[in-house]
Amino acid sequence: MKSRLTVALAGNPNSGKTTIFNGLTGARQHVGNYPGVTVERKEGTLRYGDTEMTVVDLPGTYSLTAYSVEELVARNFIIEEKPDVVVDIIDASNLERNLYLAVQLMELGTPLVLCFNMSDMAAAKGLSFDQEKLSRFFGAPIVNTIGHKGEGLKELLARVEEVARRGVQGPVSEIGYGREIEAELKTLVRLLEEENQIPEGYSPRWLALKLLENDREVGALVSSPAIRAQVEKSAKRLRGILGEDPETAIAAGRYGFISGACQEAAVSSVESRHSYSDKIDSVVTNRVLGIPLFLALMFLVFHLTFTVGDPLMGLIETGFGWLGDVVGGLWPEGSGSLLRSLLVDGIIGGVGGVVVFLPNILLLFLAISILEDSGYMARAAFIMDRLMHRIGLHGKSFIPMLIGFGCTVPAIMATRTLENRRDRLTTMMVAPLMSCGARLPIYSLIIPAFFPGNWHAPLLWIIYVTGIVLAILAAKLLRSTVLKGESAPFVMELPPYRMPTLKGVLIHMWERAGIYLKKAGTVILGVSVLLWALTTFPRPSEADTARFDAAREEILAGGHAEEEELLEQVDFREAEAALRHSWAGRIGVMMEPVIRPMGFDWRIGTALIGAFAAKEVFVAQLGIVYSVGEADEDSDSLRDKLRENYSPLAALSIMLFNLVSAPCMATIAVTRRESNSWGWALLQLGGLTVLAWVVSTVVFQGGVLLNLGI
Amino acid sequence: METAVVVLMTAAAAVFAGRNLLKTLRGEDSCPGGCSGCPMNCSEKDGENR
Repeated sequence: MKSRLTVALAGNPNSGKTTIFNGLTGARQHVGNYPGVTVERKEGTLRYGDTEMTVVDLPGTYSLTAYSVEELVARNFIIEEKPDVVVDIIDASNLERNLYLAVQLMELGTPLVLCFNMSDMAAAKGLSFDQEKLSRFFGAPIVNTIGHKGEGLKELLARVEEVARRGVQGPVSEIGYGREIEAELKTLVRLLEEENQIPEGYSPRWLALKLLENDREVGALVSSPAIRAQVEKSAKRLRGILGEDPETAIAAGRYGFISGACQEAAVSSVESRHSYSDKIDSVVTNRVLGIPLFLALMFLVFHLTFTVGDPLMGLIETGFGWLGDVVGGLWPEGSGSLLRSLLVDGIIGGVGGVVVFLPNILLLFLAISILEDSGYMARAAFIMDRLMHRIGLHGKSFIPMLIGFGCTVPAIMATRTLENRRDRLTTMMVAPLMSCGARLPIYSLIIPAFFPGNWHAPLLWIIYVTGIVLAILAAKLLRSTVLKGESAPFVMELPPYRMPTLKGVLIHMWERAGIYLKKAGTVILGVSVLLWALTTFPRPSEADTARFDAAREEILAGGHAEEEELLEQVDFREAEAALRHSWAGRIGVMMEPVIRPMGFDWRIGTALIGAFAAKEVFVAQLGIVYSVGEADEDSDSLRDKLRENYSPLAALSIMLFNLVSAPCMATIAVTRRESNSWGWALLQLGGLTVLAWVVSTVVFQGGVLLNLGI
Repeated sequence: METAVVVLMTAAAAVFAGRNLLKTLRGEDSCPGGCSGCPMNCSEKDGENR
């Protein structure tokens, strides 16, 4: 018996595989990549008695077809690296669905242990099976575990060692695919043996099945023209007799085996039970109610974000205002100190302007966290499936989009779950249109500045829905043009509903607050200091300064009644001239002809530049621009200043531009990495920028024509 | 003295921002991890692979 074993963990997504992996290996883990693909490889070690085990956490898959990179990686690992044992982690409360993978592992002839995880949930549902019978059907011992409690892991390891000691598994059931398919399989197996076309590690029957299933990867292993011709002949014959593709018929055969095995071994029937989840789903995923319910929930989330968030924001704003006064007060009044300006206008004005929105961010993530942990978000994807199909995608694409409500970067990474490269690229291109958390400070700044209270939540809701609609339209356009093609078939998981725990939700919020504050204290701080420098230098010439001093002297000498007001105007003009003279101002002025049609001015232009580092910087930069230009110690809030300088229509245009344009450089960078192409990343950047310009210009110019909100 | 402090702080910010930009463009560290519901399990904070 070997003293070192390699154990592979396979299983469906959501089966608790990673929880079991973490429970077995603890901190002794290592994360890498499978060669040539962007799929993570997780390995860990443990010691069981005298045996050292290396545990490999394979990617979560529903089956072992060649449709997705994850399935190929899992399959190739089992065939090529020949782990001593494969443990299939099964969600015992969704047995029949999870056994499809087990059947395929069984057909591969790999030494197998079936781990019936979440056995407490299965018991709660009243599900029980004669496990000895099932074990005989699959030729694999069955172990019950409750992964999140760490129960059953010792027994699992005992069975793993036992199976490894036993070597190749004993006689197992061979799935009968029916007379016609079996006849073709027999012919292909014979031909494979005669032509010596069986690569090492592969079983002839498995190869023949895969050839009939039109598996491209296996097809590439077989070079014999005679075998290729026979495969085509067999497939055509089967299509004629069965009235369906061999692939479909073989899948049906597997499901038939599973169904039969479960019926033989079932102590209670699954179909006779209606769980709470099913009752809730009959409403939530209803054809008529589903989408309106989703939109209503979104509205409620935004309403809460404003009603609860605003008072908290006010407190933080007051705090930063006080801090600015204290720091500014260290210098004499009217001091032109650069350090004072950097600290008060650059850092406190910039970073403070972003930190102030922490309550809104937390509330939004609290809501997303509750909806996800409860299981509702998976239903939202299910509901959108019908709509997605009409644009050539499927509901699974909506999950990365939902993640995009938090941040676009993991949303783009989440497209790895899409098997088809066209689906994946399409979803990657449009995911940035789902308004991410970083844009929320922009809306939270602008909406209350320009619109009455009862419009706050509806307007935010309109912005988010506009993003969703644009994403759908853009996807439709891409799928009809550059990314035309078929979608792959798929299985959509609907995990059971569960009550989110207070602890889990608070931990998510705490982590989120930490991430936001860390970003504010690092990237945003750094960029704010740079933008302050760009907005302050070069300083105005002595001649310009002298000109304004002369204007002040003239006013003071004139003895005007509105002397104070006139002096304020001079101060304002001087500050504005200084800003225009600065590097940032010059860039903004250069951009102005392009951005004017959208209702923007050069100040907004400078803010847009900085926003490419992180969207929140848009707010920070506006804070700097309107603070650096501030001569009056009793400064108005940023919202007041925006209201003085822009119209509600321009404000709407600003929000739409920020909604549609590329969120940040991290998005472009991750798109390049995930698509493996600068072309797609630059198309995303260029396409979104042009679309943003078009949308904002149409809205602004349309509003001007109709005399609305100007 | 004040000018020197301002110059130092601005230079430090420029270096930090420049390094951050390069790291991001190279695809390193673009995601802070730990986001609610993220299926990628890139950081251990995320918990189960979905």
